[in-house]
Amino acid sequence: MKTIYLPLIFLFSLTAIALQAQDFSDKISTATASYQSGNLEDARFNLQQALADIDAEIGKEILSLLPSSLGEMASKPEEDDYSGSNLGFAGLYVHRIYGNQEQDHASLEIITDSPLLTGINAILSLPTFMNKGDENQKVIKVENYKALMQKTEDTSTGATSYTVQLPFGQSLLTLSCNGSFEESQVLALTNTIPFSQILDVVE
Amino acid sequence: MKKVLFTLMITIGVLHMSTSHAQFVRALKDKIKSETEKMQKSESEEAEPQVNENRSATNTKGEGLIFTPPDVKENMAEAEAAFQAKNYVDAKNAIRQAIMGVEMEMGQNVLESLPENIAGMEKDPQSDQVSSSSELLAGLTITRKYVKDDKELNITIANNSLLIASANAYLSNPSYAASGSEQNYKPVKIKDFKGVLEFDESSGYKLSLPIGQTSIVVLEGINFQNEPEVMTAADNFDFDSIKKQLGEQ
Repeated sequence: MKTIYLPLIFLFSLTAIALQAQDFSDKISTATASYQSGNLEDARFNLQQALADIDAEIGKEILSLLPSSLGEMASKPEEDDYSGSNLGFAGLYVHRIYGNQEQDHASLEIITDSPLLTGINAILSLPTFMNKGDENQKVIKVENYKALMQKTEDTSTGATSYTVQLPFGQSLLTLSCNGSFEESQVLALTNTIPFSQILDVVE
Repeated sequence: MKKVLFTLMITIGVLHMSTSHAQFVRALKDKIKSETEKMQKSESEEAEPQVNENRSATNTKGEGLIFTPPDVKENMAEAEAAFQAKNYVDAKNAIRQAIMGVEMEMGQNVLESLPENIAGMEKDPQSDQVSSSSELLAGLTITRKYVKDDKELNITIANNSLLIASANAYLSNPSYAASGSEQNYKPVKIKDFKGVLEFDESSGYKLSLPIGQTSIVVLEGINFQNEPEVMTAADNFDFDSIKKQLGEQ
């Protein structure tokens, strides 16, 4: 029976990919026809829909590059999320969860084409920020990219959480580690994420 | 003797005149030379850029940048090819360029449909502008200015922007639209479109008129005498036509 299922799954995946490509082509064809007939608003609408399709493909590809586990925390593929809204303030959004909520857990988010980057980049460009300021914030380097690491302590539970925000190109990656993490642990986990490969897909 | 004296006096006079004449001619020549030198210096200064004390030039020339709207069909074809080759970044950029091209055409059509003059004010062709960001945050913007003496009417039409949806919700909020004697804004209706009219002593009148889900028209009247004058000027625009051209329902 296994010999039947695997080819069926493969065939289904190929069909899904083909349908997605067909969907995009249909939208481009509709946009072209609308444009030629002078229906500019319709052309624009279809182009925007096509843009969302591209973002969806990029989202899938990013998810395929992300590690299936972070340290001892396994990912939850059923909770993987991606959306391409082509909105000016959000762009493409990709999300993956690792571990269980009750124990140490982490989440990885990637936003592309987002003006939210401006604030982060401003902080990272301040030379004095590296030496002074809030002791719960520091600038670190990951694969030669500067990132902002922030520590949060829950005084009621004693849990220490870390957030690493790394802007690269027009994208922002946020790794949130919640539970009983050490700084060195979080740095090690951050270094397992393939930023260069993700950058190749989004830039 | 008298004859000699007379002759001597004439000779001295002529000589003196000659000398004076020479001096006059010399002075005249000097003056001409000086003025010529001044003119030449002035011409050479105009030909060369002004140089300040720090020896850096000040730009006084240039016609700006040449902008060509993106070719929509070409970009759509490029997007298709890039997508099939799984080059998603290129596909995305091409689609964005295509959207920009479409919006520029839409904007240009709307601009051409606007009146050439309003209430005696002529349009200022230099101020006509269509801009598109191809993203939903900023969208498409069309502007035109009408001017007569110190009176000015600016029309800005914004379309396909998320910011407009928020603005439209704000403008249709009854508490914002409530009028009172001390408020400087009031709800108005013009050709079946509801909007808000504001007045500020430093900036004049401003009429904000949502004309669809994601479109708004803003009219700014500077040095208008009173509210009826602004509303009469606004009445010259065909908002229904603008709405249709922007694809609004």
